[in-house]
Amino acid sequence: MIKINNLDFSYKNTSLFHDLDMNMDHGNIYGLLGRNGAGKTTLLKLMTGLRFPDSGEIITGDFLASSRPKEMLEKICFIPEEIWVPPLTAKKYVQLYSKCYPSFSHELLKTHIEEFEVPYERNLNKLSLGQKKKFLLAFGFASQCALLILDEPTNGLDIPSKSIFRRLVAEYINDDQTVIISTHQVRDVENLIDPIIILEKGKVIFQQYVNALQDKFKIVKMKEKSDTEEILYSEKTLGGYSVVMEADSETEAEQLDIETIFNIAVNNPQKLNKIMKGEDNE
Amino acid sequence: MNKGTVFSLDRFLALLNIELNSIKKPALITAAAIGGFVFLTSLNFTNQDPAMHMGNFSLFLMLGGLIFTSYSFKELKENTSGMSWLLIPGSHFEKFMVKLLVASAGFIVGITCVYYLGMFLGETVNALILESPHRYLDIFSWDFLNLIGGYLLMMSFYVFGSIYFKSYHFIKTSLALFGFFLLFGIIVLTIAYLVFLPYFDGFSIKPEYKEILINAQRNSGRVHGQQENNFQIGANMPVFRYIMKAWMNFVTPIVVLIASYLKITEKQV
Repeated sequence: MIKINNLDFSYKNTSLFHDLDMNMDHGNIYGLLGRNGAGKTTLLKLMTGLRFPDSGEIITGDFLASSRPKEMLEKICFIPEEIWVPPLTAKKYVQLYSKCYPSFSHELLKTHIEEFEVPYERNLNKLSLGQKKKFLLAFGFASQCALLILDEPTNGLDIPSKSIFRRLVAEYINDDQTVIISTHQVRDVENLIDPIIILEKGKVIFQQYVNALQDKFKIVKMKEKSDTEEILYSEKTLGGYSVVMEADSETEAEQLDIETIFNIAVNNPQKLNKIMKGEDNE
Repeated sequence: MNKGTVFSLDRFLALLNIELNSIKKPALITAAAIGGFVFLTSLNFTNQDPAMHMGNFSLFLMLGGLIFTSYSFKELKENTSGMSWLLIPGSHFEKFMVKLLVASAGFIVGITCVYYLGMFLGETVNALILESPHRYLDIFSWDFLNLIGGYLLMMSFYVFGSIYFKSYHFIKTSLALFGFFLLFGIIVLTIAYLVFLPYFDGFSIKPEYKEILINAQRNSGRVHGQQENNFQIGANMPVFRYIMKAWMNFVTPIVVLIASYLKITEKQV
């Protein structure tokens, strides 16, 4: 779905991405993670053609992203973190914009609008941030685009809406569709995103399926800090340490969460990637 | 790698519908204000000048139209609205043509209808109650066509300014145009001064050369009456005049609009 080859991108004189390569395939819900300023939103903009690379190329669908052809745009639904809505009622917005998306389903939209409890007859500008976001999410899911890009989608959503959002994403994905979720709120999408992509200093430092890591590593509680080779990462907690290590099924342990994976990847990317590639066994 | 199609009528109409809906409310308010103003000015029986409406209409067309055109690409002012607009499924060409159609034909037709409505009501009242002579805006006159040509030329610059500048589009475009024409004028005058200096005495043609030109004009028979005593550039150089008209009314706007379109294709938010 998306191919990024030798991407270089900079803001004025500050280099953000250098020689970045990445592939994203259909049928996955990608989690795009990174620290503040790592370039997640910029990468999403580059994928949709809103920003142009300094060099290298980005192919979205079968199209050069920077050329923004309509055939590419009608397959993309991008809901940014900071949203904008025209001064129209939700109903009018759907009436006008749904015509631009060939696979748009009005039945799905009706269901999602009801689930999210979005006032359909009110002017979008008069809605709260959360309601605007819920409306755009409902519209995005109903568009049935091949590529759904969500930047911090759970910001501004209330607790029930977050659950509905998770369910709708899970229902949305099929073999022909790709979802990319960029977020800092990893707990909101904990069991949803897989694989995860971690950006750090203009590079992809980690791109793996979460399951593969969870099968191999567990979080074990220890009273004392240990520096043995098996320990991949440790963190001080109340009453001891949480350490990440290879663990068998008999050891009392917790499942590895995305937040911990992110911390491991940022603090020890080489070791994590080595382990995942099986080089430690050689 | 596919390149995508450039134009489809269905898509164009869908985008036009979006655009018209986005400007509907402010456009109706402005139309009501202009219509009301025209109605009131049409009641003015003290002004019997038949050209009154042409003067008023010129003001609304040029000032109103250029302010309106300056905000054609208002979505690009903010990153959030710019992202939304650039990602609407449609080619750059379709999106650009929608904006252009609204700023050109859309505005001209709209303002003419509103003006005519206000003028018709005002002049009717004027004629019935005040028994004042009837004045009207002649849209089939050369003056009117010249005015539309001038508007289209200026509009093309303001479309470019609407895309090029991030804020205060109207003021910045006006200042840029003023600066450009000032510079252009200085350069042309300097060149003309250096080339034609021997033929001039200050800003006037030296009498001996003026006499030659007027005699040539008399002999050509192109100018008659009182005008024979002054040299008429337009009458003596019709080809030059047509070239200049074509350049200003067709070539310049088209070149500026092509530049505007290319600017849209490379717009980033």
